[in-house]
Amino acid sequence: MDCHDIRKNLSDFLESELTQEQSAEIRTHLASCRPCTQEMKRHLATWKTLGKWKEIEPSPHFKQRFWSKIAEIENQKRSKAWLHWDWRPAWRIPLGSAAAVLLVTLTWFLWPSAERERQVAQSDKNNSLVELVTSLDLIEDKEVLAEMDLLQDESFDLLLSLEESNPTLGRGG
Amino acid sequence: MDPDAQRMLQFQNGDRAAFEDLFEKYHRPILNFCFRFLGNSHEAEDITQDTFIQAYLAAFRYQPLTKFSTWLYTIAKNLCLNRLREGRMEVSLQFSDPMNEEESLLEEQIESHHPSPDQQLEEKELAEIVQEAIRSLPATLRLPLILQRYQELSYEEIAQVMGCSVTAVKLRLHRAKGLLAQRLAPYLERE
Repeated sequence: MDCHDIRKNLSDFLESELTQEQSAEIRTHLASCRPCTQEMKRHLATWKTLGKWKEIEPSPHFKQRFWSKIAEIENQKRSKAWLHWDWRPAWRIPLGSAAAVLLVTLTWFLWPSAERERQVAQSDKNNSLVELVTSLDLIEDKEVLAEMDLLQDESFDLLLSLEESNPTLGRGG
Repeated sequence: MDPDAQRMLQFQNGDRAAFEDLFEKYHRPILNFCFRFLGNSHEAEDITQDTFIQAYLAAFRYQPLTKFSTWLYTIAKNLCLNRLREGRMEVSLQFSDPMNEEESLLEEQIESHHPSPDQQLEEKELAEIVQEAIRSLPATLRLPLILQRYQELSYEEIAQVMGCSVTAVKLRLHRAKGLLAQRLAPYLERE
């Protein structure tokens, strides 16, 4: 090794990072090279001088502040976990059941009134027809007939049934 | 497996006491690393806490690919570099700032071997000079120097923290020590 190589390996030499052969070679060189020896001493002195910079201690409430931050993070995580709680799997059946019950209930209450309204409407219609067919004048009034849906099966069937039940119907009075 | 990595895995599995133990063991070394790198004790405390908070939050995905200490120093290093890049602080090159609390801290750093007043003054001044010399180094040279000299990491560990090769670490250390030797030449102790 020449002086350049020696100085390049001084750090490893001082830290025992070299092989025995390499360390022996450096020692041999240092024994006869004053500049490299001076460089090694300067290297050692620098390293020792750096030791003058001692450690610091944390401030009095350092740990307390840190664990407070951790506690705050944990609280935030718990809050977010609740907000992102997946409702679907656990509540699917109860919600579905409740919806079904509600639907049935509404249908139970709403359907009869609709049916009633239909029946009432049909009854009114029937009454109008009965009134009509009992009045020959109206039947003979072609304009009135045109307004009526007597040709529809339902109304015609009703008319026939009324005639059968009252043979005098339509024969004039 | 590294015992500290094992503790971290225990924390990953819900053992909070494991994380508390790791905090107790490493908060001072990390604090002093940050302090020596940044030159400001308040910033160093903030970054130390942030380092452990990051470790806490990242616990669920932690894998013991390196030593736990290496992983922790990597987090601290990145946070320090981010702080410098953000420009939120400057590495002070002038130690003698009357508003700076570092002087009071420095007095506590002098070895307690009951030196004479003149010796105390001399040691205090020398410590200031050392700090200033280290802080005057570029970050790429200051980082491996602090990790080796004060945190006692190996070449391989320093390489992992810095994300470079061992050869690159050795070259940077060689360069850093050469610069320091030049700056400290008038004050070097002789064997």
